[in-house]
Amino acid sequence: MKRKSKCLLFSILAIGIVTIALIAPYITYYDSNKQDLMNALQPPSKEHLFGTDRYGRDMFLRVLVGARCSVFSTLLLVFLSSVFGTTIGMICGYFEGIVDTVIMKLSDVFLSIPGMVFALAVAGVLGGGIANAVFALLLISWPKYARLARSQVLSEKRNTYVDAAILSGSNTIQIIFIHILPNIFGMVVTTALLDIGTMMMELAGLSFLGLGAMPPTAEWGLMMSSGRSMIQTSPWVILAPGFAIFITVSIFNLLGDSYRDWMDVRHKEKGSTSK
Amino acid sequence: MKQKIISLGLFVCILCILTGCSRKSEEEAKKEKIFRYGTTAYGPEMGNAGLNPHENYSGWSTIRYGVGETLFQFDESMRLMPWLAVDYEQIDEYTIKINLRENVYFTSGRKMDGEAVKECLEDLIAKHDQAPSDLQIETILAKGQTITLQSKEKVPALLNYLCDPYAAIIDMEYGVTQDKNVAGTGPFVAKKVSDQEIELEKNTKYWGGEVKMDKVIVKSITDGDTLAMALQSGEIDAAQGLPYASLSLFVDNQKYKISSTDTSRTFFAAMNFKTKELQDKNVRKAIAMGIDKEGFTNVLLNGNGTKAKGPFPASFTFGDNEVSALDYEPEKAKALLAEAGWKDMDLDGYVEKDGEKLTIRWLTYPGRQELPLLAEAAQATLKDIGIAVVVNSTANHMDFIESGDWDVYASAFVTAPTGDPAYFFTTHTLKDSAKNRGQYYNETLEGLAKQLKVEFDVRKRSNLAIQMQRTILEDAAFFFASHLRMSFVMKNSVIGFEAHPSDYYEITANLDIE
Repeated sequence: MKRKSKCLLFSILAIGIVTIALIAPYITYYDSNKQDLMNALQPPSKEHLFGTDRYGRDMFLRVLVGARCSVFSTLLLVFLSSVFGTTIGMICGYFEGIVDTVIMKLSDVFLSIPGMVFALAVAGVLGGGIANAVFALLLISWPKYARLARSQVLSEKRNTYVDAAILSGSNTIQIIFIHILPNIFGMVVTTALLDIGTMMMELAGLSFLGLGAMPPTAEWGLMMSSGRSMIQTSPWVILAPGFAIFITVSIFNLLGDSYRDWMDVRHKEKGSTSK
Repeated sequence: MKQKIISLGLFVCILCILTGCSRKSEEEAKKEKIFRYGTTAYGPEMGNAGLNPHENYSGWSTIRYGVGETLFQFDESMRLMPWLAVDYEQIDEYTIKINLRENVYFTSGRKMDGEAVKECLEDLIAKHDQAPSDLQIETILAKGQTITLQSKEKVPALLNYLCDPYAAIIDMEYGVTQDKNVAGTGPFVAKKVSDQEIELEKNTKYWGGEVKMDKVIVKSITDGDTLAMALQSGEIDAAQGLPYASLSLFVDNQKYKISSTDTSRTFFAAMNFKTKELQDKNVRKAIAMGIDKEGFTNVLLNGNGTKAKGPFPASFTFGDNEVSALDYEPEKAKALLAEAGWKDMDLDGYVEKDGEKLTIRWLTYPGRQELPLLAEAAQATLKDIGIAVVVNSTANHMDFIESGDWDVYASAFVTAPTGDPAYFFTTHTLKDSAKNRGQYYNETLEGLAKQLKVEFDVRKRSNLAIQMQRTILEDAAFFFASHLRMSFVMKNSVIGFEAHPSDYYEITANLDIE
């Protein structure tokens, strides 16, 4: 019960962040890209809660608006890689044979190259832009889900409920998506939730290196990168987005952890009742 | 037991002697004066690695780090001064005779005479990519301590060109070593040369008097933040190329001092005349009036520069005091756009004409930290007057220049490196100019350029340069944002290390640490 409430708490916090990201551009009092050079590099004050950057833009506003780019890109990335990876993995696991061998060898190739290095190369070739960065990270993250889904399907498909489904006349698609998927769904969601934090860091990393979001977009990694040279003179410029990344990544990681714990308990409970 | 005491005593004695020795050598090391200098301006990326002046921009390193010297040099007001030469005589419009200084020796031991200078200049013309077209030398005659240069065409700025770092005089008999080291006449001798570091020792037989430093180490540190931290930690004694945002750490700090000077390095943008929208003068003018140069210079460059009007800073006789340029006036810019038929019909904040939005592709590169700042500042202020700006700040900007996928190209250029105005115009504004990226053409300007090419009188050259600047500014073919103010930051104990407006001279015999 305690675990469930913990999970609920972090879910509320995560939903809070997503809501902020969603509505930020509409509740802010002026354009977050609007420059005001007369007010450049003002320290935090009542007027500017997190101070201003070198172009005189309000940092609080930019951190809020930046949530949209940073959080949604990450969620989109995790959603795409988990859906794509899981689908591929389930097909491989169910059919096995030559398709399975080819796709798994391919995923081995992707897994053998250090993730960030590969993403850097892809983003470098495609050029800057948040869409390209998402694509680069998608390429390195799908094999993990494919492997997970495949191994789960391999064990699930030997269960009697699958035989029952076959006997009742279900076709392959129905068996995979209606009967097997719900049984491995929890595992995939746990992995995806735990992945959000990592992906957010990697996306911010690419932006920091100039391969993700492009100026003047408010994106946390990019904001940290452009404030890098001011860490000694105007630290708020780099601390505000850094803190935002820290908070958001922590919340999503804790959500993933608590969800996993809760799922474990449920599994055990289920196991004991079936016995 | 006794033996043990004796051996212990002996051991202590030996220890004392050894400590004494090491203390002595420590004292000696303390006596040796070493200057450690970190710079962002040295290395292969800048095209100036090594010390061979006849290769690319490496002459800048030869001159900057006190290894080589040229026949003439510039003083603080960019006036010509003799250096390895004592004086000259203009025999006719094509011939000049230069008398060389007596008793100057290369660090290889050879005497610097007419023959040595001739060999060096001949090698320069044979190998350098830019020097032959600048100097136009046909023959060089050497006799004792004189050389006579005869040129193919009239070259009024010949002596200025001889101040360019590529004309550093080196001993060709000694040649260029495998690690790109040379024997010059300067106050320092390079002992180790690599792409990252140059180690220099004092030239004990320097003709210009006692060299105060024993050793100088020049380090290439390309990251501005690393450079700032190296200076703070005391790893280096002086730095060049600190980010503007870091300069405030050293201003008003008792431990450091700053030497600054205005240079002719100018941040400017060229308009692409192939772009249909930019063929309209009103649009070009609106862009020029829609960029806040003062905000850029005072805030984004932290005041480390002066707002520009034309290509040359006010310190030149043909500089900014003589010309006027369009100022930041957003309302007038909007009116100009309206006059040209650009209006915001769908109220999305951007102007349109025939249903098409006015979008400018702004090309620039991140190698100079100021340029992306200018791009982002321009993007915001041009948005206010209804022009959408798409910034493309990329290291491979030359590919985009070649493909023509740009409307405005912002870059940095030393407009008058030799103190003469012709250089900027011949490289950027004429029909045949190699760097006329936007394919700008104005017949009046071409005519004035022809006059400038053959004019020897300095005052008349100035007047021509002023007229030429007025022509390009009237056409709004270029937009000049700011002239760079260059700063050296150093520990308070460093003396004789001054920034020079030419950006040529850095380490000299006067450099010292108290």
